[in-house]
Amino acid sequence: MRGYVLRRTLLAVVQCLVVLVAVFAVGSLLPGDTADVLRGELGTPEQVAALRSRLGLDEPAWPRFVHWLGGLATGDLGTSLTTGVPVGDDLGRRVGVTLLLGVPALLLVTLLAPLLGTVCGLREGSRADRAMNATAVLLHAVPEFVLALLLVASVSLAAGLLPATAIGMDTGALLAQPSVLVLPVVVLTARHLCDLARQIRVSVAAERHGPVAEHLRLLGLRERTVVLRHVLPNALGPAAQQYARCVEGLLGGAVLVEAVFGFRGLGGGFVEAVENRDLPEVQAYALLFTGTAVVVNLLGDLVAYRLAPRREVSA
Amino acid sequence: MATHARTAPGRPQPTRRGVLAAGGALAAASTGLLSGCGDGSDGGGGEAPFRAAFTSGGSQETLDPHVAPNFVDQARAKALYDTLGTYADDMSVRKRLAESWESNAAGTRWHIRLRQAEFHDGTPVTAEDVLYSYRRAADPDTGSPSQVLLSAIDFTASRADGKRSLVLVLEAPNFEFPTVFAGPGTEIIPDGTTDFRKPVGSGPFTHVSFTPGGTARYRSWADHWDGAPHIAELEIVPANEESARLNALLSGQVHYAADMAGASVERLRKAESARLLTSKRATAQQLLLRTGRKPFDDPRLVRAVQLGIDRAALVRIALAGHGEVGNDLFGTGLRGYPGGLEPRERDVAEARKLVKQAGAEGLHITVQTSAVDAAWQPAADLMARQLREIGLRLTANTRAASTYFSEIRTKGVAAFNTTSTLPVSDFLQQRVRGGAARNQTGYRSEKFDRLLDRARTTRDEQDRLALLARAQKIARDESGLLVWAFSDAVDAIGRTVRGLRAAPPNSHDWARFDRVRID
Amino acid sequence: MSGRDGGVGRAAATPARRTRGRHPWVALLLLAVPVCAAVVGPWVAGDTAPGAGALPSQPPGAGHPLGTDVLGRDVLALVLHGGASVLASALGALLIGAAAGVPLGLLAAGPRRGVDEAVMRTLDILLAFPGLLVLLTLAATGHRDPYWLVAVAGLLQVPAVARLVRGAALAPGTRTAVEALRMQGHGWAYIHLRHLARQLAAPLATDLAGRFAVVLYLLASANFLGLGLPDSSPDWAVLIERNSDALFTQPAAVLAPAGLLTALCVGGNLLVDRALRRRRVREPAQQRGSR
Repeated sequence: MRGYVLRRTLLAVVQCLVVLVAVFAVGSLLPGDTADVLRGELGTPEQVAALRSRLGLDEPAWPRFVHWLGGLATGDLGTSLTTGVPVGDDLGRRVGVTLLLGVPALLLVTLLAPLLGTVCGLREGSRADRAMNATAVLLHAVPEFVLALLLVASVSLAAGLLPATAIGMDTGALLAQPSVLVLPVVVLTARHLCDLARQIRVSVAAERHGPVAEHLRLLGLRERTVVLRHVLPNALGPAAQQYARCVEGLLGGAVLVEAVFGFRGLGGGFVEAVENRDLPEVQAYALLFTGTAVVVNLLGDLVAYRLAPRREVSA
Repeated sequence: MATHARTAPGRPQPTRRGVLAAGGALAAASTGLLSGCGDGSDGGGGEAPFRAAFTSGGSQETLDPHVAPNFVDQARAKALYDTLGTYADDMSVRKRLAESWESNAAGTRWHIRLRQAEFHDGTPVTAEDVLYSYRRAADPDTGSPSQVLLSAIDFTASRADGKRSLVLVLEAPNFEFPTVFAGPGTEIIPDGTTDFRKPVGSGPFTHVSFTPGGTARYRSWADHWDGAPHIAELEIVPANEESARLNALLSGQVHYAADMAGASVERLRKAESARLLTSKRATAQQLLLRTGRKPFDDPRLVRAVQLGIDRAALVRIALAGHGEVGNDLFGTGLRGYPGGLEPRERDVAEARKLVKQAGAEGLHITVQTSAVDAAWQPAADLMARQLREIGLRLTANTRAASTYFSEIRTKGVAAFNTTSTLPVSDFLQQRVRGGAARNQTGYRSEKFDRLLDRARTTRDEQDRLALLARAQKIARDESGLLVWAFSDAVDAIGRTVRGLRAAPPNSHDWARFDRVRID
Repeated sequence: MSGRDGGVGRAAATPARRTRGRHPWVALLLLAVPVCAAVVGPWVAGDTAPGAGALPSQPPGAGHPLGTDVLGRDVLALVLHGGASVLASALGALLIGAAAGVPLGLLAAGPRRGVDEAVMRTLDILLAFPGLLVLLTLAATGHRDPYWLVAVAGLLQVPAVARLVRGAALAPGTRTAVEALRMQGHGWAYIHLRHLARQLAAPLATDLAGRFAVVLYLLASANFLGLGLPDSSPDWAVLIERNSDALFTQPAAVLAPAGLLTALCVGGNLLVDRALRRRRVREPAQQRGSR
C-alpha cells in the first residue's frame, strides 16, 4: 500500500509537469499576447511594443517557461503579467469564494445522492422512484442558466426571499450574509446531485438483482445484510468515479453560476487569465486544477483499492 | 440582445455568451482547487453607500487614471480625479480644473490658468502637477488613450509661469488642441506620483479601498472645489454578466447598472423599480473595409457594399431597434458633423452593376467579427444575406474577443468595429488620416490630410468646421470606413435615484455620481 | 422466487408487476416529439430567412406561432430545421467518447497492473487539461469545422467514461465473478463480451444518457468561439444559447428548443431505465434456470 501511494505521488508530479508543458505550448499558440490585450483597441503599435518589452514578452517563450518552473520549485507561482502582483494573491481570493460555493454543494451531494440513489434503487419502479427519477432527469437536462435565472426571478425578484446576486461581495461579506449563497448552491447542487443519484440508483438496482445478491439470498442471508454488505459497496464503485468528477467540478469553480450570480471565483478567474493571455496565471490555474484532479483521483483509487484490492493475476 | 455597445473605447468584455461558452468548455474537462484562504472583511456601518454596477476590466484593473481602457475606469477616474476640461454631450470642451485657456495667433502656444483646487491630501493643484501629469500620459510606456494627442506637446519648451498658470508649447500649430484637456487618460495627479495603491486626486470622492477586478469604495470629499457630493459613500462593483447587473438592480442591491442591452431594456421598460437612461446614437457601428488591400482597393467594390447593405433592416434586427441608421460618417449629432447629407439608400441594381464592373461576381469575402459587441454577429449574418443579392459572398470569421483588435490590425480585408462618442476632429485625425496609429482601413488620401491640416491651423471655429465638413465628405465615399448604424447606450437606475441623466459615454455627465441623491 | 423470505419477495415482485403492466407511453411520447421534429421537421417547415420587416425577439403572434428569435426569424421554422444537427453531433461525440472510453476502461481493468497504470495516468492528464484552452486553440489555428468540434467534444468525454467503466469492472462482485468464470475455463471473449457487458450496461447506459446533455451544451457553447456550427444555425442548442438573453421577454425562443432537448433527454433516459429494469427482472430467472 505504501509503495503504491509513493509511486502514485511521484507519478502525480510527472502528470502535473506534462499538463503544464502542454498548457504552456497550447497557450502560446493562442493569438495575441498580454500586451495586445492590455492596450486593446486604443493602443498604438508603439504603445504595444513598449509594453511588450517591459513585460519581457519579446523574449523567447521557452526560456520564460523554464524560468517560471524554476520559480515554482521554490514555491513561487510567478507574477501576473496583467497586474504585476504575485499570481497567488488573486488565486487566493478566488479560492475562498469557490470554496464557499463548492463545499456546501459538495456536502449536499455527498449526503443526498447516496440516500436518494439507494432509496430509489431499492424501490425501483415504484411511484416514488419514477417521480424522483423523472425529476432528476429533467433537472439535469434543463440548461443551467435557465434554472438559475428562473430561480432568481421567482425566489428573489418576485417573492423577495433571498438576495438575487452576490456582486461586490468578497469572502468576508459572503460569510457575514450566507443567505446569498443559497440559490447558487442550489443550482450547483442540482446538476451533480441528479447525475450521481441516478448513477447510484441504477447500480443499486442492478446489484440487487445480480447473481451474487441472489446467491447470498439463497444462502439465507437477511435482505438488510445483503444490501449493506454486498449491494451498496458494489454499487458505490462506479458511482465513486462519478463522485470524483463531481468533486473536481464543484471545487474547480463554476463559470456559469459564478457569472449569473456575480461571484469572483476560480472559474471566472481562469477564463479571465486565458482571455488576458496571462500565461503565468494560466499555468498557476492549470497547476491547481491538475493538482486537484490528480489528488481526487488518487484518493478515489485508494478508496477503490481498499474496497477491492487488485490481485496481480498473470494471464 | 442587440447593443452591447459600451466597450467602444475600451477592451472587449466577456458577454453572456462568452461566459456560457467558457462554462460549457470547463464542464467538459473538470477542474479543481488546492488550499483555501479568505480575505478581508466588509467595511460596513453607517448610511448605505450608493452602489453602481459596471462591467469590469478584471484583474488588470488599476487606479492609475492614465491607463483607463474601459468605461468603468472612466467612472472610477471621474470620482477620484479631475481633468482640465470635460466633454459636453456634443463633445465640445467645457472648463473643469482649467479656469481659462487661450492660444497665441499661430496656435502653437497655449496659456492655461487653473482654478483654485486642492488634492485630497490638502496640497493645492499647481501648474507643475499638470505638467507632470501630461508628461507622464504622453509617454508611450504609460499607455494613455490620449498619448498621441499629448505627444504633440514640446515638454522642454513648456513651463509653468506661476503657481496656477502654465504655457504648453506645441510642435505644430493646432487650434483643436483643447480637446485633449478632456481626453480620457489626462487626469491631473500630484507631481511625482508613481504609486496608485493609495491614490490621491482632486476629484469629488476620496479613495477608501480597491482590489483589481473587485469593488472600489470611495468617500465623499467635503472640500471639493465644485462642492461636496450628496452621497456619503460610493461603491463601484464589478458584474460582467448583464443578467447579474439587471437582477442586482431589480432587487435593489445596486442603484445603478451600466450597459443594458436589447432584452434587458425590454424587461426594464416594464419594471416599476427601475428607470432607463438612454443615450441616443452613442456608439458608431462600423464596417471597416481595407482599402489598402485587395479586393477593396477597387473603389467600385467599396461603393457596392455601401449601396448593398440594408441599414434599416440592420438597425431593426441586429440592434433590435435600439439605434438609427448611419450615413457612413462618424458622429451624428456631434459638433463638427456635416449637415445636409443625403442618406445612403440601398440600391441593389446599382450595387450589382458595380460588382459586375469590378469583375467580382461571386467573390468570397471574409469579415472579421467577435463577441466584443453583441450586434456584430447578427449584423454579419444579415449582411451576408443582403450582399448575396448583389453578387458578393460574405462569411464571418469569429475571433477571440480579448485579442480581436490587435488581430484585425494586421489580418483580413473586412472587420467590424465600434466607437463611442469622441470629438469629430479627434476621430478623423486618429482613425481616418493616412498612416495614423488607429487607421485600420489603410486609407490614404493627400487631399483629405491636407484639409485636416488646414482645419487644424485655422483659428476661426466656423471656418475650421467647414474644412472638416469637406474632409468628411471625401472620407465618407473613399475611406472604406462604413458607419452602418448608431446604437443607443442604455444604463439603468433605481426608482429612488435622482440627479442622473442620460448622457453619452465619454461625456462628463455619464456615470457622474457627485450630483446623485437617493430619495 | 420461493426460496426467499417474504420481505424480499414482495420488494422484488413490485417492479416486475409494474413493468409488465405498463406501456412506456410517456417516455415514448417524450422521445417521439423531438425525434419527429428533427427528422420530419425540415420537410414541412418553411423558410427560416427573416421576412421583410421582421422584428427580433417578438413574442408569439400572427404569422409566428412561436414568435421570432434574435435575428427576426420564425422560431417554429427554426425549431423544425434545427433538430438533425443536434442529434447527429451529440450522438457522434458520445459515440467517440464511448468507442474510445469503454475499451480503454476495460483494458485498464484487465489483469495487468502496468497497463492499468499507464492507461489511467495518461487519461488523468487529459481529464485535468482545461477544455476551454483546447477549444480556443482549435479556433485560433483554423480548425473550425463541426467535425473537429465533435471529435474534441468526444475526446474530452473519454477519461470520464474510461474511469467509470474501469470502476464498474473492478467492483468487488464483478471481480469475483470474473475470476470465477476464468477458473471455470471461460475465455476472454466470453468474459468480456457476455459477462462484463451485462455488468457494465447499467452504469454505462445511465452515464451516457446523462452525458448526452453535457455534450449537447458543450457543442452549443463552442459556436460562440467561432467553432463548429455557425452562429446563425437553427440548431436547437445554438438557438438556446443565442436567445438566452431574451428568456423573459421572448421565452418561447429559449423554451421551445430547450423543451425539445429536455424531452429528448428525459424520454431517452426513461427508456434506458426501463430497458435496464426489464432486463434485470427477466435475467435472474434465466440465469437461475441455466445453472
